[in-house]
Amino acid sequence: MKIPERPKKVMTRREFVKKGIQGGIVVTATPVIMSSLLSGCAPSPVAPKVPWQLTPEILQKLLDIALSKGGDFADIYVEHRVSTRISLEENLVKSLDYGVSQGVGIRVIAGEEVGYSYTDDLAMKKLQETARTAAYIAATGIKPSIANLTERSVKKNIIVEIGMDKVIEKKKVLLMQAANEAARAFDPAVKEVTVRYSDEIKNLIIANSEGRLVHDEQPLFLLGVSALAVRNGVRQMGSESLSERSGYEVFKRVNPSDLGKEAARQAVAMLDAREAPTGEMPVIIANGWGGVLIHEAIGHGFEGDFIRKKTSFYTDKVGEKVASEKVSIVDDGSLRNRRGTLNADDEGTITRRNILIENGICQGFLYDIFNAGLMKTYSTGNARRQSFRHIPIPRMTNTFMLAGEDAAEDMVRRTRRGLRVRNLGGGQVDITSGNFVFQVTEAYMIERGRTTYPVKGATLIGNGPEVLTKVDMVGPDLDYGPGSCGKDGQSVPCCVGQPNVRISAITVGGTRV
Amino acid sequence: MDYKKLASKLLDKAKKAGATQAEVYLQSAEELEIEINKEKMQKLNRSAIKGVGLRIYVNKKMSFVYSSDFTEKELDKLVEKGVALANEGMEDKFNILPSPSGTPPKLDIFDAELANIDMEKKIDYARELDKLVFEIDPRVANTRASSYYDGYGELIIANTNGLMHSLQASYCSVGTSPVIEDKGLKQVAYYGTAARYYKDIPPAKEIAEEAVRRASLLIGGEKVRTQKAPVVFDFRVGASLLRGILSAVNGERVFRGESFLVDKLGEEIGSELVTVVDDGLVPKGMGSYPVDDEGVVTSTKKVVDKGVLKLYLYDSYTANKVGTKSTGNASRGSYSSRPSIGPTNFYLEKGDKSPQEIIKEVSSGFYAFNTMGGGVNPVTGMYSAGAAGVWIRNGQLAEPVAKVTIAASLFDMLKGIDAIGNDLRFNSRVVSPTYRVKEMTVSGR
Repeated sequence: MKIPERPKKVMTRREFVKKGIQGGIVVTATPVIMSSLLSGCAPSPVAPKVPWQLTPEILQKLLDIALSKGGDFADIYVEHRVSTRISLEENLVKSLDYGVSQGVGIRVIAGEEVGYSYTDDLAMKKLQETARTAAYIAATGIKPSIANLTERSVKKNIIVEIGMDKVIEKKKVLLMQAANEAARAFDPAVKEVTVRYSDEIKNLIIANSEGRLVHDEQPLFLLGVSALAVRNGVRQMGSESLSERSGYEVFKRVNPSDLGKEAARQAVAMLDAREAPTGEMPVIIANGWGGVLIHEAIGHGFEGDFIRKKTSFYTDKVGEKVASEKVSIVDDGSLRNRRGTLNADDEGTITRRNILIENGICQGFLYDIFNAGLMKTYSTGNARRQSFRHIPIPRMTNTFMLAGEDAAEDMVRRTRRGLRVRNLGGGQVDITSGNFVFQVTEAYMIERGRTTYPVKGATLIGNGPEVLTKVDMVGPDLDYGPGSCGKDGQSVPCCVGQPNVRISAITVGGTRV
Repeated sequence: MDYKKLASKLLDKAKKAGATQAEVYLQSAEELEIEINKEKMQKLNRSAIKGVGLRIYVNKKMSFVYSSDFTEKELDKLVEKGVALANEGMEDKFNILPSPSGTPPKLDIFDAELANIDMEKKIDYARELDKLVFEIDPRVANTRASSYYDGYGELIIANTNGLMHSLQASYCSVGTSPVIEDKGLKQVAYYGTAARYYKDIPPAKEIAEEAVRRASLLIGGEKVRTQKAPVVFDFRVGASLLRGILSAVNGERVFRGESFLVDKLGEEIGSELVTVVDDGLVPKGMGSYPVDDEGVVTSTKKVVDKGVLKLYLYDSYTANKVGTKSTGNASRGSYSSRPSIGPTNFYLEKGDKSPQEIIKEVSSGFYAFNTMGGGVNPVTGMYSAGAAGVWIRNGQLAEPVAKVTIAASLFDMLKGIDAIGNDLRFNSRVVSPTYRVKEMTVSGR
């Protein structure tokens, strides 16, 4: 299978509004905290050992073994991951966690068949055995030609000034304490706060039988706060998190206190919530994390494995109108430093901006090498895997709806009775039918064009393709939110985004008939 | 490698490096994944993995470190890092490691034959399963995959209080997801099961038939009118309610006030048909282990007894905080995570009715086959989920239903359970028989 780079296509489209993180997070940093945090960054006591002993010669030899029984394509994925986790609960740092995991996964593709094996033991004997196990599915006995490995540099979408691995734990704890204190100080109803911090540095080597050789580094951190508010026996939780592929410099523009305040605000706001209504009604979904709707309801249906197997609703729909003309949706793994950003995907393909829907018309799908090869097309740089223990599959990166021109206030004013959703929990979709579900975590009733009281316990349910046709207003305020996406038992970090959006009718499932 | 010896050695290293207490959790496992789609090997993965996680204490300060690299040099570094991190931490006077106590039961959870069964035989199972779904119903256009997975491994848990457990366990799981196409409509359904022993996996035909039956019952489902109606939960989706209760009786959540079941011990929270059990000793159960994930001997506990809440679940640390004993519910995802509170075999005790009888008693109601989305919010005690299934009319399955939500407060649901089926199977950690809730809000049109 040959995998040439896809030619760059020049596209006309609405300007992508690039913005920083919003929604109560971007506020000028408190100078006192920041100066104390940024002084004296010390290296970690133990410098992790990246397995660079796996030289191109060794990788070449392993590819040779992997294809010795036949097959069309083989690749090797070498991963070395160093992670730190800290949890702050009940005002105490409960534990400081640190771990190293490394391993090698070897894959052989023969037609529509895939053989895979991995090992965490990097001894040459084990690696050879792993390559032979992966070769099990190949049976032609005709060894294909294997290109010489040529290292290629990947472009830098991820630029870090001060890597989190260079920052001592005490400083990370200070960030967490700031968030903790801000959440507790927000309102007397806030009774408990949990702050979680984690970071990882993942070093990769990817080599394949087409001669591709890529070295890359993927940093990632997360600072998350959840707050519990209790009043008169009513309990509500709120949560907020910041996660990027950035370094410590992020805290020059983001104040961790604001994460704490936002988590507490959500919890307190919902204390007075009444039971949610039921039935079909217009729903306005807030910008930012609300984009999880795009991810679940539409995004998964554009993934190349479902397209190849014709189990997605969007199979054979390129060029057709699949959404209201207000809708343009993009998956872009090359955005600077976001949680879903990659320099190269997990098969070493450079990430890019892929247009899924433009002004309502279906444009194309998300592919990895395997599915693209069978579909006689190109990888779009969307191959992703949870770790060396997992095979790459087509996945989203940063997926979002482009901005429009309808102001959020107008959306409310033009809604007689409906729901304004400010925060969603997780979502789920059945790819085949396109039916999806979302838990609503913060929402307000709209009555006669005005936002009135908060409601709790609502679920949104609908059909992805159907909902797309019912998007009748799109705001100018595109924003993003970090998340994790699960598919085939693999979890990968991703980012979603959208402006404020109104859906003219969607089923709200509450308890109040 | 003798992993017991390695574990003792790591404890010694930790003490030498300055730890006052330490715990080793060492795992080694082999896994096999076979996925067939239309006669093609969509995925064949055969691999081995190992790793060790260390909880290290310096007085009452704790750290946790893990690695998959077992070379002496790397392990030395890991221990040093662990001690250094613990020193950076904060005192938590409730930190504690369990001491040896009680005799772990002998449980039937390891199939020694599994490793010797020819891989070809396992591949053939998945091939047959995939072939059968197409044969059973000509409308089957594809499968997401038909799969056979298995795994087996060894686990060592040891700590400086003299606790040392070593155990072996195995599992096999099979399943298929046929996609039916009919008159332009598509419907997918999944059905599968799991067992400790290879010989307990049912014939492929049984799995294939049930998966196809589910897809054909659901195809063409539409919304119903919004209404209050009885809801019958199929045994597969019944567990979604139990997972919510499981979160709400998590001792750590309860301690922090993040549960709607705070201060409800001894109170009636459900109908008297409702008995919920956490039982680490179920014969061949998928959640059965002689000890929990920090080495505390497991047992059988009633969490809810005839509608009355009896127990919250604890690991050693949280139990120490509230001044009680661990219930043997420490649980970890893998060697790379610290213990938290989780289930052994967590289930709703079965009743005496067949699922057919439960359906027959409904004049107009919803038979939920699939639920999607969060389900229970353990903090607020609200249940709300997307659902698909079949409408019941005069005790008979009538038309397929989709894109509806079902919602109620969890108290109303538990108190409204008025029939429980006899079809309980221990093929997962959280399992339920079929049951019926007297009234829920079904939202559609």
